[in-house]
Amino acid sequence: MSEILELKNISKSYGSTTVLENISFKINNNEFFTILGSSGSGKSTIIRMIGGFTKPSSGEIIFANKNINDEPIFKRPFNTVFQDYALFPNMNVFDNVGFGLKIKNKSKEEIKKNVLNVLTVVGLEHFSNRMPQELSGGQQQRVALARAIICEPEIILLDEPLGALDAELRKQMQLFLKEIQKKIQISFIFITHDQEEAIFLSDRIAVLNNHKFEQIGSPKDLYYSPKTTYMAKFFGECNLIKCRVTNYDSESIKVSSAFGSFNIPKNKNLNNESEFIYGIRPEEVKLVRQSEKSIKVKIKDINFRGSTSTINATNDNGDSLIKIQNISTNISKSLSINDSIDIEFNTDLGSIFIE
Amino acid sequence: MTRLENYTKYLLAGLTGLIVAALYAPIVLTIFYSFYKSRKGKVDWNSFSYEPYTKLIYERQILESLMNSIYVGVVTVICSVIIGFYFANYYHTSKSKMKEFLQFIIFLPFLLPPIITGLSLLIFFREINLPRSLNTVVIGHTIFVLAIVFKIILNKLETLKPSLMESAYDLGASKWQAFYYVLLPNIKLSLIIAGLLAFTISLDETLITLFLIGNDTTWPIKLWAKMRVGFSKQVNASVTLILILTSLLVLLIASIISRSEKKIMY
Amino acid sequence: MNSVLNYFSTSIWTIVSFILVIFLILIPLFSFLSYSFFTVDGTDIIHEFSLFNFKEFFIDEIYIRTFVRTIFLAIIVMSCCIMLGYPVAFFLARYAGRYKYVILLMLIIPLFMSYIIKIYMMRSILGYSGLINKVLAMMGFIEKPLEFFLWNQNSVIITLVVILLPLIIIPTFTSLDKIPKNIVEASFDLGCKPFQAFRYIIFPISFPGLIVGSIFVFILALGDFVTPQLVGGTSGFTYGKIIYSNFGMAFNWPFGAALASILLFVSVIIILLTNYLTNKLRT
Repeated sequence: MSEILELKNISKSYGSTTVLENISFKINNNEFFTILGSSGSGKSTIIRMIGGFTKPSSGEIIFANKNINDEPIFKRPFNTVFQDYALFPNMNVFDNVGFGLKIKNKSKEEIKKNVLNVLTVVGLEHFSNRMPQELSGGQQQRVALARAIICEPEIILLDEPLGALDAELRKQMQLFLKEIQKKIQISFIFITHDQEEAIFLSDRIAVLNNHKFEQIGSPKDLYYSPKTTYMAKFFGECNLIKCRVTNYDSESIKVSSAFGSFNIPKNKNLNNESEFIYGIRPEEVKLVRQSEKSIKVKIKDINFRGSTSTINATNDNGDSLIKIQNISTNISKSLSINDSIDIEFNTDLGSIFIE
Repeated sequence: MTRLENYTKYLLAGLTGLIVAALYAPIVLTIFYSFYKSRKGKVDWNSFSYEPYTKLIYERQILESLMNSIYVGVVTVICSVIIGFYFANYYHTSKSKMKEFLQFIIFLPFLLPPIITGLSLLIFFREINLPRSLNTVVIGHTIFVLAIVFKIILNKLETLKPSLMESAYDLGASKWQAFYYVLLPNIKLSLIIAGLLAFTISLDETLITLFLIGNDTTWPIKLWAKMRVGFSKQVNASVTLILILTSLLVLLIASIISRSEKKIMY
Repeated sequence: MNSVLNYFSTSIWTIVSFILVIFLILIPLFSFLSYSFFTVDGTDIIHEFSLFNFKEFFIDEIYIRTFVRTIFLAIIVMSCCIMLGYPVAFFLARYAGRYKYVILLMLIIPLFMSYIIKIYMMRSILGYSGLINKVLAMMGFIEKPLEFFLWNQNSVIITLVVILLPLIIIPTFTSLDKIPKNIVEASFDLGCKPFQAFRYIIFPISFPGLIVGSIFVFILALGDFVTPQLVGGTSGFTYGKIIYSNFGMAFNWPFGAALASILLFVSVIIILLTNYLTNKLRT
């Protein structure tokens, strides 16, 4: 895979308000890249800068080894699918989709051929004479996408395109987007605030928090190797336990915590007496028989979730809480509040955050 | 923004400035000549005086025509708002096909050249032997502004949810009570805007009035008559006062509209 | 009791208001149209059907000539208003930022300010010793005052443009202001240069508003009779002025009605035609 676009140390501020701070990332060929962040986090600003609608305050946007900071919008080989589609109300579906080619002075026959082709790809071949106002949200979405695809851009920028759709349609469109991206082999930069959507669609995800990227990586990377406690809590749930190394030897590390002591695998970032936060996902906490490795906790409550249950448990003092997930209801049936249970961490999948 | 776009912007800003100047030039000149004298096109800069304003109280004809105009304006507002509200409500609630036809008729005097509306009424009044007076002028003004009043009130009615009146009935209100306690407070602002606009238009209506006026003249018609002999400074002073009144009315309308954040106008 | 006071749906009220509208709008229009088929004898109007007035219109070529000239005049006024008004509306909607409504209001206020005075004052602006000539002389462009501006067709055109210009700015601004920003961005995104974005997107979307304003300006310019009377002199004669004179000194109401009905007929045709063409253009 080769890189096609790079953003280097991009910052953006409006007056004294900082929107983005030192953002850097690269986009690979044929990649589905998602920028994930809450509303107002500045995620739209990133693709607006790539598209050329706003300029970065500092930093470089590099495309094909060339700085394109000052390239006007219409010269950039990217196309945008806008949040509320921005279809031209004075043109029907056919003219909307064919607009980019018309501007490039393509012949009428070529435009017709291409438009019909692309409309077939997005499944709207029978709608070419409709006006945008006569289409449903999902159909307008497809027209907006077709309008971008037909220009054969190097990258398609999608600015929260599914935001306005209801849940059911949203699922359909996610599937549709994923399939179409594979089919047409164009890189997508996709903006969303929805984690599930990001995980489902993306090859890589960049999580935006406090004007900066927390972490960039594949969905699996982000889930299993979060780099910060923010990331650990951002996807799914995670128990964060304050720990201190008590015994550091060549084989394993013994740590103490509010729940007692346990062993974790070797880690070169730790040394004797170092303090850190240990992250372990609730499904990686196992109920076990009492052993010398196990930890004793007291059940606070049990939440029935169908075939499995979730247990919240506390340590002896009752001042620290731990969540345990995916316990077969068969087992949880026999348990009740205030029971003592023994647990063990699947320490291969725990994360270490040094503050 | 490209450099070309910047140039375009400044060019357009300049044009806009020129046009604002052109639109205000006649008005500014009038105000100017109410304070300064000019002889043979030369302005006497030492002649500043606000005497014409104090002398205005002795100009019975001008004052009378002003009072007539205000009378016509007020009666026009009352008639047009009542009829306009009635039709708007009818149009809004009725399912009859007649309502489109009705709307078409109401809009006719507004869309046709004023000269047609004026002479139609003139001929009609002659046929039914109704002598020309301020009241015939009121009729002319009412049917002229009716379309605007109707449209403003209708726009407001269409923003109200049908459940509003239904819930009033549901709670046991009679139709009058529902109107007075529920509908009226909700459309009050649109009635005020429509009324102010109707008054402003009526105050300056000339083309229809010229056909319908009797012996008592309204203010624009008095100006029209005085123009042959040239304007005295008192006339300029009366014009200035009316201009201030009109501007205040338009600003009042605009501020009501922007405060209720409904862009109903046009 | 309730059924009488019932403020809507009551049949009496419905009938009353329908009668009112029919009496005050439709019947006057009808009586005016029928007058155009009557004739006059001295000061008496003869209520008998006759095509005399229309014959007169077509025989004496001054009427047709004046009519055609007035249509041209209205077209020129309309074109000037479009050429001046559209750029202003465009500037307001796109570049004036938070001042746009303030400037719009400034452009609307003169619309409500004394019609007669505006026309009258145009005399002291356009006249031989008027403002324009003075300014031009002061700046050294001319030695003798220009007579190009007053007591002719030009002065009628200029005055009507000054009076009617806001009517085209308002609807055009409204339709331009409604265009979402991202639609313009989308056109850039698809490769439009600024002029192309204007040509293919902004202008077509604002076109209906421009048409509404243009029709208003055209109709009002066509029917105006006060402006030519005050600034037109002898050569600034218009059709509206002829109609009005038949109701004044000439006192030939049936002939005036006939002339007006021709004006009405042509106005309606033009409105319908524009409507039809706009709809056709859009599809």
